[in-house]
Amino acid sequence: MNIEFERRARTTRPISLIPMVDILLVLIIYFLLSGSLHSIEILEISPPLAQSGEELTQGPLVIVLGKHDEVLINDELGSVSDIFPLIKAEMLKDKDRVITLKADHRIKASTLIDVMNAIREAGGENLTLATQAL
Amino acid sequence: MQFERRRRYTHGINLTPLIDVIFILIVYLMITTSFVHINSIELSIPSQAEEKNREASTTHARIQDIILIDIGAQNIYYLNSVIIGIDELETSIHKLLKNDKDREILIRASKNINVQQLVDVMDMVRIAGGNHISVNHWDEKTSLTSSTSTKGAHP
Repeated sequence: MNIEFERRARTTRPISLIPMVDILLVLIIYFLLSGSLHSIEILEISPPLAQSGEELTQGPLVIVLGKHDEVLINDELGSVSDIFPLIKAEMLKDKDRVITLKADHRIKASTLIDVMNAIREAGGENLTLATQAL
Repeated sequence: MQFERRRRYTHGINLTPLIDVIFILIVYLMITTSFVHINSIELSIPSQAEEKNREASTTHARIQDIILIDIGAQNIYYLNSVIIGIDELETSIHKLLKNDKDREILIRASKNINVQQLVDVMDMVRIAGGNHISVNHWDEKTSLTSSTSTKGAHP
């Protein structure tokens, strides 16, 4: 006896991409809300952790002290001795100019104090030290 | 005469280009987004004129009024030249500042300590209510005429 079964018709429905688009949009919204965009730094530093830090008010003059004692003054490589004349020139233009100091937490405190003293001697008055929230 | 009816194609909208764009956006955001929250400690440096006035008024009484915190090389902390544990430092500073929050605090750091240790002490002082923090090098011969002051977190 020969029984013939009816062949089931193959349904080739395309995969629905709409849930995927939903998830991707949720991801985008998450990144936009939870993170903050930052410009790519020339020198990657990890600021010291501090509980009492306040919202960063980054001034127009940024001094970065890298972990290998590199000094970046407004994205230009320099040294501690360059800070004094530069700050002095800047202070002549605007006395209330805010200077932002970004130092890696691993560098020697004496380097940071040297820079602070150089800024003070050059007449800098408004200085903010970048820290990382705990 | 009968015309053949045109077949209606009901294709869905092609979502592939949209997904491409969204992927590019996600990759861009993943690279540029930073989850590290950068804060800052506001520092106010006395001007040279102020500094000169301060130096001129440095009397014995004023020096005695300064709270001195020294950070030694092997994580040894001194409060007014007396060795103190890191756990007791905050409460001791808080006690000293109870009557006068505007007392000057001078933190002196040894050459071998790193920025994190210095900021830890600055943080402690700010939490304890200290307003005027000065920082200087740790050297026995260093005079008390310093330096860089920070504005406290709790004025």
